[in-house]
Amino acid sequence: MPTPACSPAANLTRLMLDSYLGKNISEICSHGFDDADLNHCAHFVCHVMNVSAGSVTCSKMSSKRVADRIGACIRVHELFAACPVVGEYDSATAEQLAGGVFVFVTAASAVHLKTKSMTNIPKKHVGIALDGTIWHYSNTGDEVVTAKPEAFRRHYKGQVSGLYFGSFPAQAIPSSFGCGR
Amino acid sequence: MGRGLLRGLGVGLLVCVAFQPAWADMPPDEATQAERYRVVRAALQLRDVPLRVHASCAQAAPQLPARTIGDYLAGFLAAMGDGRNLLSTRCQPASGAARCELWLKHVDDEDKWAWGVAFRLDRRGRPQPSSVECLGAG
Repeated sequence: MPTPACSPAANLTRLMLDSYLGKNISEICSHGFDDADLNHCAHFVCHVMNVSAGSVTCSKMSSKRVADRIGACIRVHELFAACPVVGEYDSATAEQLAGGVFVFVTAASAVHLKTKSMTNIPKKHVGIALDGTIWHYSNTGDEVVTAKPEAFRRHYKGQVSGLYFGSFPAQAIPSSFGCGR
Repeated sequence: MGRGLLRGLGVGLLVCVAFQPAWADMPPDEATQAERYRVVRAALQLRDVPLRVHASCAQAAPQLPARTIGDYLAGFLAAMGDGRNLLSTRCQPASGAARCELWLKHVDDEDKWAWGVAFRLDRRGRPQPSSVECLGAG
């Protein structure tokens, strides 16, 4: 029986996303895939939305996996390819952004919108945008933080990055901290 | 890159391979170095393995076009620029042989990543091409 805080919800809310603020990936991933040397940006957003897309998941990569929880995707470029609709963030309509989207920041040369693919260059990052705020996993702070789109665009020093959105896959179901599937 | 990589060579090794008894008598530092050499050498021997060997490798190369594990590793080695760079290896016993990992790690502010390969060594220490998987997240 889910607790009231974990009741199933179809829509992503700021309250849900705020419940992750300040959390380390070790608190978020029940499978123990929390090596601080790794980049956990995709891993974080996939746990929030309970998305398993891609060739590998946190449960497949962990020796401490638990049986009754789904494995979340862990790679930015594989998540991008799994989004039903992708495009430039600045060109997204209010309708496309309503309800939240994944937001990707990386070099424009790595993004191929026509084929909905992204090259696995090292400098790429992803968060979740809702109502003009982006929640993402800071790999230097090792915690979930927020940023505004213009700051997020400057995530990587020395790289002129583009900002892209991706709609949530059909099977995505948002959950608050501690309520993942 | 080279300086950072060499600095990193002293860190990050976990070895528990039991099938090289000659190393059992080595001082710990020498055994660590010998094991690291063996894993790096084995990974280089796998350079011509096609990326289609495993789903985790198929789209994982950072520089295109890329066809092989050598292309995949070269792409991340080339990205190890300013900042802290680390090469780490580890092996664990697996069915009488070993499963080994080679990791390339980089940190420069928010530019933080770790990608690598995993593969099996047979009882004679030879890498098994069909066992290759690509590691990493982000």
